Amino acid sequence: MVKYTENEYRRMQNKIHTEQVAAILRESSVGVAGLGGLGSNAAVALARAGIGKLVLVDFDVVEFSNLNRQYYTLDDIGKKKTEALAGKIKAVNPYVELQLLNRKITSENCSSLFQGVDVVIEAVDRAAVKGIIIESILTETEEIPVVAASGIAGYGRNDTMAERRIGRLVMIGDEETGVAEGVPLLSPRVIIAAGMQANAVLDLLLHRRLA
Amino acid sequence: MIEINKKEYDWEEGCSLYDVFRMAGYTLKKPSVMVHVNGKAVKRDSWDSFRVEDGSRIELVNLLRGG
Repeated sequence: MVKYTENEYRRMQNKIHTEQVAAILRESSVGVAGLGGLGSNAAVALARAGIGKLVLVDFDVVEFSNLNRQYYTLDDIGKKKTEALAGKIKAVNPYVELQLLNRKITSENCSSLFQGVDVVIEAVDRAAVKGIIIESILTETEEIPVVAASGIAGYGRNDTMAERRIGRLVMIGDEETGVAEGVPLLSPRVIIAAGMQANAVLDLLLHRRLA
Repeated sequence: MIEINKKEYDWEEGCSLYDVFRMAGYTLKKPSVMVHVNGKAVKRDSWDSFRVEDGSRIELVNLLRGG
């Protein structure tokens, strides 16, 4: 396998982004709450874009049924999602700093798990836990924005996917299509949502700092 | 007058967030939503005690399963 030094990665990113932008991204840290379809794909996108540090939180292990939409591969089945995703990210860029937390997110621990990050991506499956994460970060921290998703199941017209901003909250999705009988989570639409979340993170990080 | 997701509704004296959910057409008493009042997030454990003032702008976001 070809090896590149950390300096070679830096030079590549500086060339792509300009030095100023690459430095902002490299100094940024992003928390990812849940490493399923949204979180695994968004984290890899951010690692490729040059984010310096990712805090990856999930209590679960990779299962066969996850392969329909999550970033994992057959050899990851049975591994902790945090560790499996760390392997995938390191295979793209070994110099991204990773903090892996094998924890269930609760209203008690949420804001401390993500202490010090610049943005949190809410990427869990259950609606109730989505509410806990968004509320905890928005009410218990002073500045951290949350990029959440709701209404990302099924398939259909791409222009139903939307972004809505309320204060420090960015909502991605159609806010209508949840998982239901005959409406599963499918790779294309989940990846669109994950890409929109990662793109919103870059917008928040860069517009805040370049303004 | 209060505003719920950009639509106007008559304000009721002593109006609670549960009244807001009813006005917005939710059938569950505790719907799966994220609530902002005048741009600030309101935690669900304070939905009970929260009183909505006249002129408030409320944003409700439906939280649906899927991740």
